[in-house]
Amino acid sequence: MKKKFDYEQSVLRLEEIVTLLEKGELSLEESMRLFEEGTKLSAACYDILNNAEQKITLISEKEEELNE
Amino acid sequence: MALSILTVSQLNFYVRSLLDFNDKLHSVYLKGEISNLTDHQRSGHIYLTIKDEKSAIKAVMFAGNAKYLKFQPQNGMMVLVRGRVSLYEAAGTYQMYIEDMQPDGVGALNLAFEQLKKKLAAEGLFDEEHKKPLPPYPEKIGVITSPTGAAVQDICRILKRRYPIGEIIMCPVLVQGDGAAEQLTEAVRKLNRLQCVDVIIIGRGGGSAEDLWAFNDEGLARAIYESKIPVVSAVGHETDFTICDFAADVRASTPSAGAELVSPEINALRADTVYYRQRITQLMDDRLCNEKKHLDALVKAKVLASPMEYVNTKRMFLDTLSQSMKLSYSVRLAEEQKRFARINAKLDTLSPLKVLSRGYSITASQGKIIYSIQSVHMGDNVDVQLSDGTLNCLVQMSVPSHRPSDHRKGSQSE
Repeated sequence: MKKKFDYEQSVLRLEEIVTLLEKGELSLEESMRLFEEGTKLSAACYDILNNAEQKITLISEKEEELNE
Repeated sequence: MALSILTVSQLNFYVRSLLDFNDKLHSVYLKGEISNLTDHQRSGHIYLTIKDEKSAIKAVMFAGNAKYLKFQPQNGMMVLVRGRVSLYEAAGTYQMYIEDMQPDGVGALNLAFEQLKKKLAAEGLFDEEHKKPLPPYPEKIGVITSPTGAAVQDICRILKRRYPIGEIIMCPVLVQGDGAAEQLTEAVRKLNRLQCVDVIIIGRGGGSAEDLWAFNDEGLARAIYESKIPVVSAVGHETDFTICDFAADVRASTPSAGAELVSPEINALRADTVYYRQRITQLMDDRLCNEKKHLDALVKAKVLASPMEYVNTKRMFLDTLSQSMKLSYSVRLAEEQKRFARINAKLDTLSPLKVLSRGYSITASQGKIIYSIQSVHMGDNVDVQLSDGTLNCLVQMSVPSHRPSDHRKGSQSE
């Protein structure tokens, strides 16, 4: 199953970043890099949540799409 | 009229013909209680007696018909049977040949349900260990239900409100009547084949036990059990239980509840996202603040505040070191000098020159010191070294002494 943006993966990664930053064992450079990644991820997640519009697809359409 | 004597076979054949030619006996519906049940596992034929308070009739259900039974016949069970009546000539027994058999009364469906539930439970289809957890954030949600029922409306409404980021993959099926169970089963299998959803909701709105019957299908239960995708069963109302509910990974009391179970609430997700953002920002701020404090402390440290003082301290230390080094060197030097003088004096007393001055001499031949008269021959030239010079002498005679060691001692230099 192909995924463009995986919300679940993003949230898991965000949780991981919080834990890593909380531990404070990383170098300042590494912390900055994680912080930047976390900021981008949270922005992307928020973007998804705010622009979500429910999509309803019939299984028959899905099948055609997958068979193509 | 001549007396006719019949054989047993002729009689039985005659009676059987009477029964077989009677149209009314070709298709008989009979109600009664099962007794003397013999279920031949190998042949699949079922032999039984059907009785009421006063009478009984032997009956048989051949394997070809028995395999379609939806329940397990048992002694004492009230049944409704359909079949023909005939005579088994070999035994002379008159009996019922059962084509179809149903448990009698309102409890019929219930019984079939309980029996299937027991069977599947024994096989482990409902085991807790086999239940799969629901994905926390499903991207695609498969919905198997009737496209026209209230359930589909409920599910879509809830998902739209709570979790619009998920895509609904709709599998429209019949949920009651002929073919419903097969369609439900096939939909579960199809979603698994396509692997196009993260979770499945299967269900329908409330109805009578008969309406919900398709959800008590054995094939459906197995498809759900074998599903790699987690399945939420959302059939009927809170009090309705189906085999589908037991086989599913999670049972929801209603279709709406099913939709809620698979979907996180989007506002909670927003709050989570905001929380993560704030948390990492705060953590980063704290970290930067700490780093800055650390840096400040370093800058304020004495070394950096007045670097010359540090250098001076080091210089003083170096001076002290150098002083003490010089001192210890001169002491050591004096010691060495004294030691050298001592060794020199000792050497002097042991010098062979000193011995020569006392009148001893050293005899050598061709540069080698002579220790014994054996080493020289008559006519050899030897050098005799005295304290003030060397005599070159010709050996004319050699006289061994009584104590040759004395000679040796006298000429040896140590």
